[in-house]
Amino acid sequence: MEIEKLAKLARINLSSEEKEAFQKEFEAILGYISTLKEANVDGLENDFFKNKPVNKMRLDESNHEAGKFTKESLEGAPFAEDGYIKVKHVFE
Amino acid sequence: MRKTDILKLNMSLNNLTIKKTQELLKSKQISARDLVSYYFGKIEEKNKDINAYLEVFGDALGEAERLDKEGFGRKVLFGVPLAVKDNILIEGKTCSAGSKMLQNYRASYDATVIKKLKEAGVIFLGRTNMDEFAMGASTENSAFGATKNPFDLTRVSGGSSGGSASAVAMDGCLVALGSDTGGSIRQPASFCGVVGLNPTYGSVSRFGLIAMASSFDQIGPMTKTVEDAEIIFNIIKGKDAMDSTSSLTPDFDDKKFLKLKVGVLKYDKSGVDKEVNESLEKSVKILKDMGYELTEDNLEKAFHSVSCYYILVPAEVSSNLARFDGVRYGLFKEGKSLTEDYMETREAGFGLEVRRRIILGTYVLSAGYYDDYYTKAQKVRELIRMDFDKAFDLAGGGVDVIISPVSPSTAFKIGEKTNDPLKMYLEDIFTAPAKMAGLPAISIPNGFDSKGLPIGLQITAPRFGEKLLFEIGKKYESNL
Repeated sequence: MEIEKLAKLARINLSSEEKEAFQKEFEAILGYISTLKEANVDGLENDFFKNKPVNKMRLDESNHEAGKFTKESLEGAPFAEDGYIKVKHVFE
Repeated sequence: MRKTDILKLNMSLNNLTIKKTQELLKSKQISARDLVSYYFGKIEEKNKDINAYLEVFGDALGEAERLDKEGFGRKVLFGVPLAVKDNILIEGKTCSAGSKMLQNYRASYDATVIKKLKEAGVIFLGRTNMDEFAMGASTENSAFGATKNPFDLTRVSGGSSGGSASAVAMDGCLVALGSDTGGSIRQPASFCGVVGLNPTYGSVSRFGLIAMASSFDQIGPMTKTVEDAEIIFNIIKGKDAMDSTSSLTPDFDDKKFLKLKVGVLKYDKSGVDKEVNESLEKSVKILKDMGYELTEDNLEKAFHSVSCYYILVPAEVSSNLARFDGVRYGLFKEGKSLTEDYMETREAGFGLEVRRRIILGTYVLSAGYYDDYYTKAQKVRELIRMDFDKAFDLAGGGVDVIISPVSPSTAFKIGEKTNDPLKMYLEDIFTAPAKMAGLPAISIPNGFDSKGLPIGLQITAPRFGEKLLFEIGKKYESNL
Protein backbone atom coordinates (compact mmCIF):
# COMPACT_ATOMS: atom_id res chain seq x y z
CA MET A 1 0.00 0.00 0.00
CA GLU A 2 1.68 3.17 -1.17
CA ILE A 3 0.69 5.85 1.29
CA GLU A 4 2.41 8.50 -0.87
CA LYS A 5 0.36 7.59 -3.93
CA LEU A 6 -2.89 7.50 -1.97
CA ALA A 7 -2.16 10.86 -0.37
CA LYS A 8 -1.74 12.38 -3.83
CA LEU A 9 -5.02 10.84 -5.01
CA ALA A 10 -6.78 12.24 -1.95
CA ARG A 11 -5.09 15.61 -2.40
CA ILE A 12 -3.68 15.53 1.12
CA ASN A 13 -0.17 16.38 2.31
CA LEU A 14 1.43 14.18 4.93
CA SER A 15 4.72 14.73 6.68
CA SER A 16 7.27 11.92 6.48
CA GLU A 17 6.61 11.01 10.12
CA GLU A 18 2.89 10.86 9.41
CA LYS A 19 3.49 8.66 6.34
CA GLU A 20 5.56 6.25 8.44
CA ALA A 21 2.98 6.17 11.23
CA PHE A 22 0.14 5.58 8.77
CA GLN A 23 2.01 2.72 7.10
CA LYS A 24 2.26 0.87 10.42
CA GLU A 25 -1.28 1.67 11.52
CA PHE A 26 -2.74 0.57 8.21
CA GLU A 27 -1.00 -2.78 8.48
CA ALA A 28 -2.82 -3.36 11.76
CA ILE A 29 -6.15 -1.99 10.51
CA LEU A 30 -6.09 -3.90 7.22
CA GLY A 31 -5.04 -7.00 9.12
CA TYR A 32 -8.18 -6.72 11.24
CA ILE A 33 -10.39 -5.89 8.27
CA SER A 34 -9.16 -8.91 6.34
CA THR A 35 -11.24 -11.13 8.65
CA LEU A 36 -13.99 -10.13 6.25
CA LYS A 37 -12.48 -12.60 3.76
CA GLU A 38 -13.92 -15.39 5.91
CA ALA A 39 -17.49 -14.17 5.47
CA ASN A 40 -19.35 -16.40 3.04
CA VAL A 41 -21.26 -14.22 0.60
CA ASP A 42 -21.95 -16.94 -1.98
CA GLY A 43 -25.70 -16.97 -1.43
CA LEU A 44 -25.88 -13.29 -2.36
CA GLU A 45 -24.67 -13.34 -5.94
CA ASN A 46 -28.05 -13.01 -7.62
CA ASP A 47 -30.20 -11.37 -4.96
CA PHE A 48 -27.82 -8.69 -3.92
CA PHE A 49 -29.25 -5.56 -5.57
CA LYS A 50 -32.87 -6.70 -5.72
CA ASN A 51 -34.37 -4.52 -3.00
CA LYS A 52 -31.91 -1.72 -3.07
CA PRO A 53 -33.26 1.83 -2.90
CA VAL A 54 -33.49 3.58 -6.25
CA ASN A 55 -32.28 7.11 -6.87
CA LYS A 56 -35.14 9.58 -6.60
CA MET A 57 -34.57 12.42 -9.01
CA ARG A 58 -36.23 15.80 -9.24
CA LEU A 59 -36.65 17.97 -12.31
CA ASP A 60 -33.48 19.81 -13.27
CA GLU A 61 -34.93 23.24 -12.72
CA SER A 62 -34.34 26.08 -10.27
CA ASN A 63 -37.08 27.30 -7.95
CA HIS A 64 -35.73 30.82 -7.47
CA GLU A 65 -34.53 33.75 -9.60
CA ALA A 66 -30.99 33.51 -10.94
CA GLY A 67 -28.49 35.29 -8.71
CA LYS A 68 -30.66 35.32 -5.59
CA PHE A 69 -28.11 33.55 -3.39
CA THR A 70 -24.92 34.49 -5.22
CA LYS A 71 -23.65 37.12 -2.79
CA GLU A 72 -24.34 34.95 0.23
CA SER A 73 -22.81 31.87 -1.37
CA LEU A 74 -19.62 33.72 -2.24
CA GLU A 75 -19.12 35.04 1.28
CA GLY A 76 -17.03 32.06 2.27
CA ALA A 77 -14.86 31.95 -0.84
CA PRO A 78 -11.30 33.23 -0.36
CA PHE A 79 -11.24 34.76 -3.86
CA ALA A 80 -14.29 35.93 -5.75
CA GLU A 81 -14.75 38.33 -8.65
CA ASP A 82 -17.82 39.51 -10.59
CA GLY A 83 -20.00 36.86 -9.00
CA TYR A 84 -17.57 34.03 -9.75
CA ILE A 85 -15.21 32.06 -7.58
CA LYS A 86 -11.57 32.58 -8.57
CA VAL A 87 -8.91 29.85 -8.54
CA LYS A 88 -5.42 29.36 -10.00
CA HIS A 89 -4.99 27.90 -13.48
CA VAL A 90 -6.46 24.43 -13.72
CA PHE A 91 -4.08 23.47 -16.53
CA GLU A 92 -0.46 24.46 -16.39
CA MET B 1 -36.50 37.86 40.94
CA ARG B 2 -35.66 37.90 44.65
CA LYS B 3 -32.63 35.90 45.74
CA THR B 4 -34.72 33.45 47.77
CA ASP B 5 -36.94 32.90 44.76
CA ILE B 6 -33.91 32.15 42.61
CA LEU B 7 -32.57 29.72 45.19
CA LYS B 8 -35.94 27.96 45.40
CA LEU B 9 -35.97 27.88 41.64
CA ASN B 10 -32.47 26.42 41.39
CA MET B 11 -33.47 23.64 43.70
CA SER B 12 -36.42 22.60 41.60
CA LEU B 13 -34.72 23.16 38.26
CA ASN B 14 -32.15 20.39 38.37
CA ASN B 15 -34.65 17.62 37.85
CA LEU B 16 -36.42 19.05 34.88
CA THR B 17 -38.01 17.17 32.04
CA ILE B 18 -39.68 18.66 28.97
CA LYS B 19 -43.13 18.10 30.47
CA LYS B 20 -42.14 19.74 33.78
CA THR B 21 -40.75 22.81 32.02
CA GLN B 22 -43.90 23.13 29.94
CA GLU B 23 -45.97 23.09 33.16
CA LEU B 24 -43.74 25.67 34.86
CA LEU B 25 -43.72 27.93 31.79
CA LYS B 26 -47.44 27.62 31.10
CA SER B 27 -48.34 28.46 34.70
CA LYS B 28 -45.80 31.31 34.56
CA GLN B 29 -43.93 30.05 37.63
CA ILE B 30 -40.84 30.73 35.56
CA SER B 31 -40.23 32.53 32.29
CA ALA B 32 -38.33 31.23 29.27
CA ARG B 33 -35.68 33.82 30.16
CA ASP B 34 -35.36 32.41 33.70
CA LEU B 35 -34.83 28.97 32.25
CA VAL B 36 -32.10 30.09 29.86
CA SER B 37 -30.43 32.06 32.68
CA TYR B 38 -30.42 28.96 34.84
CA TYR B 39 -28.60 26.90 32.20
CA PHE B 40 -26.24 29.74 31.36
CA GLY B 41 -25.33 29.80 35.06
CA LYS B 42 -24.53 26.08 34.97
CA ILE B 43 -22.50 26.49 31.79
CA GLU B 44 -20.51 29.34 33.29
CA GLU B 45 -19.83 27.22 36.36
CA LYS B 46 -18.86 23.99 34.62
CA ASN B 47 -17.88 24.49 30.98
CA LYS B 48 -14.35 25.69 31.63
CA ASP B 49 -13.51 22.32 33.17
CA ILE B 50 -15.60 20.11 30.91
CA ASN B 51 -15.41 21.91 27.52
CA ALA B 52 -18.82 20.59 26.44
CA TYR B 53 -19.72 23.81 24.59
CA LEU B 54 -17.55 25.35 21.88
CA GLU B 55 -19.80 28.39 21.76
CA VAL B 56 -22.69 29.67 23.80
CA PHE B 57 -25.14 31.67 21.68
CA GLY B 58 -25.32 35.30 22.74
CA ASP B 59 -28.83 35.70 21.34
CA ALA B 60 -30.42 32.94 23.43
CA LEU B 61 -31.59 35.30 26.19
CA GLY B 62 -33.04 37.67 23.57
CA GLU B 63 -34.80 34.75 21.91
CA ALA B 64 -36.22 33.70 25.28
CA GLU B 65 -37.52 37.21 25.94
CA ARG B 66 -39.12 37.29 22.51
CA LEU B 67 -40.85 33.98 23.23
CA ASP B 68 -42.01 35.23 26.64
CA LYS B 69 -43.62 38.26 24.94
CA GLU B 70 -45.32 36.03 22.38
CA GLY B 71 -46.73 33.85 25.13
CA PHE B 72 -47.07 30.10 25.49
CA GLY B 73 -49.48 29.56 22.61
CA ARG B 74 -49.40 26.27 20.75
CA LYS B 75 -45.68 25.64 20.59
CA VAL B 76 -45.13 22.09 21.85
CA LEU B 77 -41.53 22.71 22.93
CA PHE B 78 -42.01 26.29 24.10
CA GLY B 79 -38.84 27.60 25.72
CA VAL B 80 -37.05 24.24 25.80
CA PRO B 81 -33.29 24.95 26.06
CA LEU B 82 -31.40 22.73 23.62
CA ALA B 83 -27.71 22.26 22.77
CA VAL B 84 -26.76 21.47 19.17
CA LYS B 85 -23.83 19.32 18.05
CA ASP B 86 -21.33 21.35 16.03
CA ASN B 87 -22.16 19.53 12.78
CA ILE B 88 -25.79 20.63 12.48
CA LEU B 89 -26.34 23.88 10.59
CA ILE B 90 -28.11 26.84 12.18
CA GLU B 91 -28.42 29.76 9.77
CA GLY B 92 -26.06 32.60 10.58
CA LYS B 93 -24.16 30.63 13.22
CA THR B 94 -20.68 29.18 13.01
CA CYS B 95 -20.66 25.44 12.34
CA SER B 96 -17.22 23.86 12.40
CA ALA B 97 -17.71 20.06 12.76
CA GLY B 98 -15.00 20.26 15.44
CA SER B 99 -12.47 21.09 12.72
CA LYS B 100 -10.02 23.84 11.80
CA MET B 101 -11.26 23.37 8.25
CA LEU B 102 -14.56 25.03 9.13
CA GLN B 103 -13.48 27.06 12.13
CA ASN B 104 -14.94 30.27 10.69
CA TYR B 105 -17.64 28.80 8.49
CA ARG B 106 -21.04 30.41 8.93
CA ALA B 107 -24.06 28.36 7.96
CA SER B 108 -26.17 29.84 5.17
CA TYR B 109 -29.26 27.80 5.98
CA ASP B 110 -31.04 25.88 8.75
CA ALA B 111 -30.91 22.10 8.90
CA THR B 112 -34.40 20.61 8.59
CA VAL B 113 -34.29 19.42 12.21
CA ILE B 114 -33.39 22.95 13.31
CA LYS B 115 -36.29 24.41 11.32
CA LYS B 116 -38.69 21.96 12.96
CA LEU B 117 -37.36 22.62 16.45
CA LYS B 118 -37.49 26.40 15.92
CA GLU B 119 -41.15 26.15 14.92
CA ALA B 120 -41.81 24.13 18.06
CA GLY B 121 -40.40 26.95 20.23
CA VAL B 122 -37.00 25.55 21.18
CA ILE B 123 -34.20 27.90 22.28
CA PHE B 124 -30.73 26.97 21.02
CA LEU B 125 -28.19 27.52 23.78
CA GLY B 126 -25.02 26.83 21.85
CA ARG B 127 -22.98 24.36 19.83
CA THR B 128 -21.31 21.39 21.45
CA ASN B 129 -17.88 19.86 20.97
CA MET B 130 -17.31 16.74 18.90
CA ASP B 131 -14.64 14.55 17.37
CA GLU B 132 -13.56 16.25 14.15
CA PHE B 133 -16.05 15.51 11.36
CA ALA B 134 -17.64 12.98 13.74
CA MET B 135 -14.66 10.64 13.50
CA GLY B 136 -13.87 9.18 16.85
CA ALA B 137 -15.20 7.61 20.01
CA SER B 138 -13.88 9.98 22.65
CA THR B 139 -14.12 13.62 21.46
CA GLU B 140 -10.32 13.70 21.77
CA ASN B 141 -10.12 14.26 18.01
CA SER B 142 -11.72 17.69 18.24
CA ALA B 143 -9.49 20.48 16.93
CA PHE B 144 -10.64 22.50 19.95
CA GLY B 145 -9.67 20.26 22.87
CA ALA B 146 -11.28 17.17 24.35
CA THR B 147 -14.51 17.19 26.32
CA LYS B 148 -14.09 15.78 29.83
CA ASN B 149 -16.51 13.39 31.43
CA PRO B 150 -18.61 15.22 34.07
CA PHE B 151 -18.32 12.16 36.35
CA ASP B 152 -14.51 12.17 36.23
CA LEU B 153 -12.58 14.97 34.57
CA THR B 154 -9.59 12.71 33.85
CA ARG B 155 -11.76 10.58 31.59
CA VAL B 156 -13.31 10.97 28.18
CA SER B 157 -16.93 11.86 27.55
CA GLY B 158 -17.10 9.37 24.69
CA GLY B 159 -17.64 10.40 21.08
CA SER B 160 -18.22 11.71 18.65
CA SER B 161 -21.16 13.49 20.36
CA GLY B 162 -19.20 13.90 23.60
CA GLY B 163 -20.03 17.58 23.93
CA SER B 164 -23.78 17.00 23.71
CA ALA B 165 -23.65 14.07 26.14
CA SER B 166 -21.64 16.09 28.68
CA ALA B 167 -23.82 19.16 28.24
CA VAL B 168 -26.88 17.14 29.28
CA ALA B 169 -25.04 15.31 32.06
CA MET B 170 -23.62 18.50 33.57
CA ASP B 171 -27.08 20.08 33.47
CA GLY B 172 -25.88 22.64 30.93
CA CYS B 173 -29.06 22.19 28.87
CA LEU B 174 -32.31 20.29 29.13
CA VAL B 175 -31.86 18.29 25.93
CA ALA B 176 -29.30 18.08 23.12
CA LEU B 177 -28.93 16.89 19.56
CA GLY B 178 -26.17 14.51 18.55
CA SER B 179 -25.42 12.48 15.44
CA ASP B 180 -24.71 8.77 15.12
CA THR B 181 -22.81 7.01 12.35
CA GLY B 182 -21.32 4.02 14.18
CA GLY B 183 -22.32 4.72 17.79
CA SER B 184 -21.63 8.42 18.19
CA ILE B 185 -24.83 9.13 20.12
CA ARG B 186 -25.13 5.91 22.09
CA GLN B 187 -21.56 5.47 23.35
CA PRO B 188 -21.13 9.01 24.78
CA ALA B 189 -24.65 8.71 26.24
CA SER B 190 -23.59 5.56 28.08
CA PHE B 191 -20.29 7.10 29.24
CA CYS B 192 -22.11 10.17 30.60
CA GLY B 193 -25.18 8.52 32.08
CA VAL B 194 -27.78 10.02 29.75
CA VAL B 195 -30.27 8.70 27.20
CA GLY B 196 -29.17 8.64 23.55
CA LEU B 197 -31.33 7.56 20.64
CA ASN B 198 -29.98 6.50 17.27
CA PRO B 199 -33.08 6.58 15.01
CA THR B 200 -33.93 4.28 12.12
CA TYR B 201 -31.89 5.27 9.06
CA GLY B 202 -34.03 7.66 7.05
CA SER B 203 -36.45 8.59 9.83
CA VAL B 204 -34.75 11.94 10.49
CA SER B 205 -33.68 14.23 7.65
CA ARG B 206 -29.94 14.64 7.11
CA PHE B 207 -30.42 17.96 5.32
CA GLY B 208 -28.14 20.40 7.12
CA LEU B 209 -26.08 17.73 8.86
CA ILE B 210 -22.45 17.96 7.77
CA ALA B 211 -22.07 14.62 6.01
CA MET B 212 -19.68 11.96 7.22
CA ALA B 213 -20.98 8.64 5.82
CA SER B 214 -24.21 9.19 3.96
CA SER B 215 -25.60 5.66 4.26
CA PHE B 216 -25.07 5.63 8.04
CA ASP B 217 -25.49 9.17 9.46
CA GLN B 218 -28.53 10.06 11.55
CA ILE B 219 -29.34 12.93 13.92
CA GLY B 220 -30.85 11.95 17.26
CA PRO B 221 -31.79 13.29 20.71
CA MET B 222 -29.66 13.08 23.86
CA THR B 223 -31.72 13.64 26.98
CA LYS B 224 -32.11 12.87 30.68
CA THR B 225 -35.17 10.66 30.27
CA VAL B 226 -36.52 8.26 27.65
CA GLU B 227 -39.75 10.25 27.44
CA ASP B 228 -37.81 13.40 26.52
CA ALA B 229 -35.98 11.48 23.77
CA GLU B 230 -39.38 10.32 22.50
CA ILE B 231 -40.77 13.86 22.48
CA ILE B 232 -37.80 15.28 20.56
CA PHE B 233 -37.74 12.35 18.12
CA ASN B 234 -41.41 12.85 17.29
CA ILE B 235 -40.74 16.49 16.42
CA ILE B 236 -37.61 15.97 14.31
CA LYS B 237 -38.64 12.84 12.42
CA GLY B 238 -40.32 12.85 9.04
CA LYS B 239 -39.91 12.59 5.31
CA ASP B 240 -38.12 15.58 3.84
CA ALA B 241 -38.03 16.64 0.18
CA MET B 242 -34.51 17.94 0.79
CA ASP B 243 -33.24 14.45 1.81
CA SER B 244 -34.09 11.77 -0.70
CA THR B 245 -32.99 9.05 1.72
CA SER B 246 -35.62 10.08 4.28
CA SER B 247 -38.81 8.08 4.68
CA LEU B 248 -42.21 8.29 6.27
CA THR B 249 -42.21 6.59 9.64
CA PRO B 250 -45.00 4.02 9.46
CA ASP B 251 -47.32 3.56 12.43
CA PHE B 252 -46.12 0.84 14.73
CA ASP B 253 -48.58 -1.81 15.88
CA ASP B 254 -49.23 -1.04 19.57
CA LYS B 255 -50.89 -4.41 20.21
CA LYS B 256 -47.45 -5.93 20.25
CA PHE B 257 -46.67 -4.29 23.59
CA LEU B 258 -48.62 -6.86 25.55
CA LYS B 259 -46.11 -9.71 25.59
CA LEU B 260 -42.71 -8.61 24.32
CA LYS B 261 -39.82 -10.98 23.64
CA VAL B 262 -36.35 -9.69 24.41
CA GLY B 263 -33.27 -11.25 22.83
CA VAL B 264 -30.01 -11.05 24.81
CA LEU B 265 -27.01 -10.72 22.53
CA LYS B 266 -24.54 -13.58 22.82
CA TYR B 267 -20.97 -12.23 22.76
CA ASP B 268 -17.43 -13.02 23.86
CA LYS B 269 -17.43 -11.84 27.48
CA SER B 270 -13.65 -11.99 27.77
CA GLY B 271 -13.31 -8.88 25.62
CA VAL B 272 -15.59 -6.82 27.85
CA ASP B 273 -15.20 -5.25 31.33
CA LYS B 274 -16.41 -7.55 34.12
CA GLU B 275 -18.73 -4.87 35.52
CA VAL B 276 -20.26 -4.20 32.08
CA ASN B 277 -21.02 -7.92 31.78
CA GLU B 278 -22.53 -7.93 35.28
CA SER B 279 -24.62 -4.90 34.40
CA LEU B 280 -26.16 -6.73 31.45
CA GLU B 281 -26.85 -9.80 33.60
CA LYS B 282 -28.60 -7.55 36.11
CA SER B 283 -30.70 -6.09 33.29
CA VAL B 284 -31.75 -9.58 32.22
CA LYS B 285 -33.07 -10.20 35.75
CA ILE B 286 -34.87 -6.85 35.88
CA LEU B 287 -36.52 -7.43 32.50
CA LYS B 288 -37.59 -10.95 33.51
CA ASP B 289 -39.14 -9.53 36.69
CA MET B 290 -40.93 -6.93 34.55
CA GLY B 291 -42.66 -9.79 32.75
CA TYR B 292 -40.71 -9.93 29.49
CA GLU B 293 -39.68 -13.20 27.90
CA LEU B 294 -35.91 -13.45 27.47
CA THR B 295 -33.95 -15.62 25.05
CA GLU B 296 -30.36 -15.67 23.86
CA ASP B 297 -29.60 -14.29 20.44
CA ASN B 298 -26.67 -15.29 18.34
CA LEU B 299 -26.12 -12.71 15.60
CA GLU B 300 -23.18 -14.40 13.92
CA LYS B 301 -22.70 -12.05 11.03
CA ALA B 302 -23.00 -8.96 13.21
CA PHE B 303 -19.48 -9.58 14.46
CA HIS B 304 -18.13 -8.59 11.08
CA SER B 305 -19.66 -5.15 11.66
CA VAL B 306 -16.49 -3.34 12.73
CA SER B 307 -14.46 -4.67 9.77
CA CYS B 308 -17.29 -3.83 7.43
CA TYR B 309 -17.74 -0.41 9.00
CA TYR B 310 -14.10 0.54 8.64
CA ILE B 311 -14.22 -0.19 4.94
CA LEU B 312 -17.57 1.38 4.04
CA VAL B 313 -17.37 4.47 6.25
CA PRO B 314 -13.88 5.63 5.22
CA ALA B 315 -14.95 5.03 1.59
CA GLU B 316 -17.96 7.32 2.02
CA VAL B 317 -15.87 9.77 4.05
CA SER B 318 -13.22 10.04 1.32
CA SER B 319 -15.99 11.05 -1.05
CA ASN B 320 -17.91 13.39 1.28
CA LEU B 321 -14.84 15.28 2.45
CA ALA B 322 -13.54 15.91 -1.07
CA ARG B 323 -15.57 19.13 -1.06
CA PHE B 324 -13.24 20.71 1.50
CA ASP B 325 -10.65 22.18 -0.81
CA GLY B 326 -10.48 25.84 0.20
CA VAL B 327 -12.24 26.98 -2.98
CA ARG B 328 -15.79 27.82 -1.97
CA TYR B 329 -15.71 27.98 1.85
CA GLY B 330 -13.68 26.99 4.85
CA LEU B 331 -9.97 27.21 5.44
CA PHE B 332 -7.69 28.19 2.56
CA LYS B 333 -3.94 27.66 2.62
CA GLU B 334 -1.97 28.60 -0.44
CA GLY B 335 0.40 26.34 -2.39
CA LYS B 336 2.36 26.89 -5.60
CA SER B 337 -0.34 25.53 -7.90
CA LEU B 338 -4.04 24.69 -7.74
CA THR B 339 -3.29 21.10 -6.77
CA GLU B 340 -0.91 22.29 -4.08
CA ASP B 341 -3.58 24.70 -2.82
CA TYR B 342 -5.74 21.62 -2.19
CA MET B 343 -2.97 19.66 -0.55
CA GLU B 344 -1.84 22.46 1.75
CA THR B 345 -5.40 23.38 2.70
CA ARG B 346 -6.38 19.81 3.49
CA GLU B 347 -3.21 19.17 5.48
CA ALA B 348 -3.75 22.29 7.56
CA GLY B 349 -7.51 21.88 7.92
CA PHE B 350 -7.85 18.17 8.69
CA GLY B 351 -6.53 16.48 11.84
CA LEU B 352 -4.76 13.14 11.83
CA GLU B 353 -7.79 10.85 12.23
CA VAL B 354 -9.64 12.58 9.40
CA ARG B 355 -6.67 12.25 7.07
CA ARG B 356 -6.20 8.65 8.16
CA ARG B 357 -9.78 7.75 7.23
CA ILE B 358 -9.73 9.63 3.94
CA ILE B 359 -6.62 7.72 2.90
CA LEU B 360 -8.05 4.42 4.06
CA GLY B 361 -11.19 5.17 2.06
CA THR B 362 -9.16 6.13 -1.00
CA TYR B 363 -7.36 2.80 -0.72
CA VAL B 364 -10.44 0.59 -0.48
CA LEU B 365 -12.00 2.35 -3.46
CA SER B 366 -8.90 2.29 -5.62
CA ALA B 367 -8.47 0.15 -8.73
CA GLY B 368 -7.42 -3.36 -7.89
CA TYR B 369 -8.78 -3.24 -4.36
CA TYR B 370 -12.38 -2.12 -4.91
CA ASP B 371 -13.85 -5.63 -5.24
CA ASP B 372 -11.84 -7.19 -2.44
CA TYR B 373 -12.75 -4.52 0.06
CA TYR B 374 -15.65 -2.26 -0.91
CA THR B 375 -17.84 -4.69 -2.84
CA LYS B 376 -17.17 -7.44 -0.31
CA ALA B 377 -18.08 -5.13 2.57
CA GLN B 378 -21.34 -4.15 0.84
CA LYS B 379 -22.23 -7.82 0.53
CA VAL B 380 -21.36 -8.52 4.16
CA ARG B 381 -23.50 -5.54 5.13
CA GLU B 382 -26.40 -7.23 3.38
CA LEU B 383 -25.68 -10.45 5.30
CA ILE B 384 -25.79 -8.52 8.58
CA ARG B 385 -29.13 -6.98 7.57
CA MET B 386 -30.47 -10.47 6.82
CA ASP B 387 -29.19 -11.71 10.18
CA PHE B 388 -31.20 -9.02 11.98
CA ASP B 389 -34.28 -9.71 9.82
CA LYS B 390 -34.12 -13.30 10.95
CA ALA B 391 -33.59 -12.33 14.60
CA PHE B 392 -36.67 -10.08 14.51
CA ASP B 393 -38.88 -12.53 12.62
CA LEU B 394 -41.46 -13.26 15.34
CA ALA B 395 -43.23 -15.88 13.25
CA GLY B 396 -39.96 -17.77 12.98
CA GLY B 397 -39.27 -17.74 16.72
CA GLY B 398 -37.58 -14.36 16.73
CA VAL B 399 -37.71 -11.49 19.20
CA ASP B 400 -39.15 -7.99 19.43
CA VAL B 401 -35.94 -6.28 20.60
CA ILE B 402 -32.32 -7.18 21.36
CA ILE B 403 -30.39 -5.98 24.40
CA SER B 404 -26.62 -5.73 24.72
CA PRO B 405 -23.92 -3.58 26.30
CA VAL B 406 -23.24 -0.24 24.58
CA SER B 407 -19.48 -0.29 24.95
CA PRO B 408 -16.90 -2.87 26.12
CA SER B 409 -15.94 -0.55 28.98
CA THR B 410 -16.99 2.51 30.91
CA ALA B 411 -15.33 5.89 30.23
CA PHE B 412 -11.60 5.36 29.66
CA LYS B 413 -8.85 7.76 30.63
CA ILE B 414 -7.99 10.66 28.35
CA GLY B 415 -5.07 9.59 26.11
CA GLU B 416 -5.56 5.88 26.83
CA LYS B 417 -6.54 4.94 23.28
CA THR B 418 -5.15 7.79 21.18
CA ASN B 419 -1.99 5.94 20.13
CA ASP B 420 -3.82 2.97 18.73
CA PRO B 421 -6.47 3.74 16.11
CA LEU B 422 -7.58 0.11 15.90
CA LYS B 423 -8.21 0.03 19.68
CA MET B 424 -10.43 3.09 19.29
CA TYR B 425 -12.28 1.50 16.34
CA LEU B 426 -13.10 -1.55 18.48
CA GLU B 427 -15.15 0.74 20.76
CA ASP B 428 -17.84 0.35 18.08
CA ILE B 429 -18.23 -3.38 18.49
CA PHE B 430 -21.72 -3.21 20.02
CA THR B 431 -22.98 -0.06 18.33
CA ALA B 432 -21.92 -0.65 14.70
CA PRO B 433 -24.22 -3.65 13.96
CA ALA B 434 -27.43 -1.61 14.18
CA LYS B 435 -25.97 0.92 11.74
CA MET B 436 -25.17 -1.82 9.25
CA ALA B 437 -28.84 -2.68 9.10
CA GLY B 438 -30.23 0.87 9.47
CA LEU B 439 -31.93 -0.04 12.76
CA PRO B 440 -32.97 2.17 15.68
CA ALA B 441 -31.12 1.63 18.95
CA ILE B 442 -31.18 3.46 22.26
CA SER B 443 -28.70 3.70 25.11
CA ILE B 444 -30.30 4.12 28.51
CA PRO B 445 -28.54 4.70 31.84
CA ASN B 446 -28.04 1.38 33.62
CA GLY B 447 -26.32 2.18 36.88
CA PHE B 448 -22.67 2.80 37.71
CA ASP B 449 -19.49 0.77 38.06
CA SER B 450 -17.35 0.60 41.20
CA LYS B 451 -15.48 3.75 40.08
CA GLY B 452 -18.76 5.65 39.95
CA LEU B 453 -18.79 5.74 36.15
CA PRO B 454 -22.06 5.34 34.23
CA ILE B 455 -22.86 2.14 32.35
CA GLY B 456 -25.41 2.05 29.53
CA LEU B 457 -27.85 -0.58 28.32
CA GLN B 458 -28.46 -0.78 24.57
CA ILE B 459 -31.81 -1.85 23.15
CA THR B 460 -32.09 -2.42 19.39
CA ALA B 461 -35.40 -2.70 17.53
CA PRO B 462 -36.49 -3.46 13.96
CA ARG B 463 -36.64 -0.61 11.44
CA PHE B 464 -39.18 2.06 12.54
CA GLY B 465 -39.52 0.27 15.90
CA GLU B 466 -38.71 3.38 17.98
CA LYS B 467 -42.01 2.95 19.86
CA LEU B 468 -40.74 -0.38 21.18
CA LEU B 469 -37.60 1.30 22.44
CA PHE B 470 -39.60 4.02 24.19
CA GLU B 471 -42.06 1.52 25.67
CA ILE B 472 -39.41 -0.75 27.17
CA GLY B 473 -37.07 2.13 27.96
CA LYS B 474 -39.63 4.08 29.99
CA LYS B 475 -40.70 1.01 31.95
CA TYR B 476 -37.07 -0.03 32.58
CA GLU B 477 -36.19 3.49 33.78
CA SER B 478 -38.84 3.33 36.46
CA ASN B 479 -37.81 -0.17 37.49
CA LEU B 480 -34.11 0.55 37.88
